[in-house]
Amino acid sequence: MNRDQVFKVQAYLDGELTRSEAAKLEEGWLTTEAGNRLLEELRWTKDVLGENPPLQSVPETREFYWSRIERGIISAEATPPRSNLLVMDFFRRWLAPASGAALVCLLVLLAIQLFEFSPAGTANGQLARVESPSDAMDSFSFENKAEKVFVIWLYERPSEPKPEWNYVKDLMIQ
Amino acid sequence: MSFPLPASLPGRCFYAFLAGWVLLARPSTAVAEEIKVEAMLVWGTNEDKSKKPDHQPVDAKTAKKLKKIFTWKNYFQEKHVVTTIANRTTKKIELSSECTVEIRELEGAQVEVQLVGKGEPVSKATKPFTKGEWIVIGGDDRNECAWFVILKRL
Amino acid sequence: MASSPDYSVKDDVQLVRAAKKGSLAAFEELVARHRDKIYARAFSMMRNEDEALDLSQEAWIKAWQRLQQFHGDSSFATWMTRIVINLCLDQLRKQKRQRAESIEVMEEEVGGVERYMAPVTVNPTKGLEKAELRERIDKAMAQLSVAHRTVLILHEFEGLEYKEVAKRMNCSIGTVMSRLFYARRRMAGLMAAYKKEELNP
Repeated sequence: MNRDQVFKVQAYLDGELTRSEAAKLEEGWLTTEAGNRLLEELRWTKDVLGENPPLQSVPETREFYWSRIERGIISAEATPPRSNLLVMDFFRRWLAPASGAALVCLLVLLAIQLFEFSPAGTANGQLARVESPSDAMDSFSFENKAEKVFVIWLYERPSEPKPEWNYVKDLMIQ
Repeated sequence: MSFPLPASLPGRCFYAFLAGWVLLARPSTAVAEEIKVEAMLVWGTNEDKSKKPDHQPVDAKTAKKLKKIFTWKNYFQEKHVVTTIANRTTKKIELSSECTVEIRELEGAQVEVQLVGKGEPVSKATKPFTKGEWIVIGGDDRNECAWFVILKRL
Repeated sequence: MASSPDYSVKDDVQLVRAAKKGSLAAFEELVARHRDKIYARAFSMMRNEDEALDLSQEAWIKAWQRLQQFHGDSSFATWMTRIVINLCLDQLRKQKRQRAESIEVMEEEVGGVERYMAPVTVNPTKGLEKAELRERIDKAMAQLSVAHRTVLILHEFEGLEYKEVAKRMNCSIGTVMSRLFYARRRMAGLMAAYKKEELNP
């Protein structure tokens, strides 16, 4: 059986064929032993899964599980208090964390120098810039350092503005 | 005359960051040079033979490297070109009737690679490109095959 | 002093109505009622207890925020499972960017070998208790790659059509059919293998 035929058998089982396609299959492949055996196996798998969806219990008490949700809801709904900030208060509020971030940046720079770490995938520590100018295509990129290969993988952009799932056939070994 | 350091720790951290940046920043490397590039258009498939009669299996070294990165079983080349790109120039390499790759040699041992498919730019990358490195631009094709544009810096 | 209503006797429609008016107690009853199912869905996708807990709780928080958008087109449980599945898919997408799957798993993705696997003729689940059967199915599902498990969950457990599965997984219908076929055949093969192990220890 070729690929189209096996998929037709599956689609027949799933009710995804038109009436005429289904009738054609019933008169064709489903009269063969191979076709029937495949259909039976697929049907068995479908039935077994359908009748036995996974059952797992939450491994926390009702109260504990709910308490985290409740905190999340309250936190999401909380709005920041209004306050009148003086200029110096503003600097004090932002300079301290900014300086902490600056210290982290300094440490990262030192790490880059010491360990030749290049997170965005180049051998000499400089970053690569990848653009996807096409409306139809998007891309992701990565580097296989061992092989010194930089890969850009193109895929079709999803049609909706905000895809819920942006799955790309991820066949790379890193 | 001593340098006036800020009294507070956050302020000192900020100055330390600035000092670090100044000490660790490097000028961009190297003078731009002429680069030699091997460009290939390759198909990846799990079939033993390519459907196109003019396809040849890629050389063993290329196949070995591709198999370490991707999971298709066999790789066939459709086009293979070796070319040189002079300082600060752009070379357009036609890999098929629908696929062109443009390589521009930039300062600092960087290149800009633009892939044009059916007349439309589909990908552009700017990055360092050192000897021995490969840049691979690829995507899925029908029948669970894949296409690859492979650029090797020779 | 008026006593608070006993939400445990109310149906989902009434609870949703009360929750939409701001009753956290009504929403808490909904959580208690459906938490296992939502958690189970998250666990079947993520295969990790901590992640499943986090994502299921995040789903409940999102549901509270989006409650006004629920109009009863589907059951509340179905609406909730869609939310948690989307969160799981987002999380899996992030994880995919951070680590590649094993070679074996990726060969599963690419292969066409499932077309050549002989159909399973032994009935691998005959005589099994329900709990045992569920455990076996769970064990087999854990062996599948993320993509194959996801397509099974969306199609077999959520009852989505090919088109809808393709939309959620952002792939073609052909890819859905291919993955579903592989996943089903692999499940059948795994279940048969467990049976054989049992018969020939």
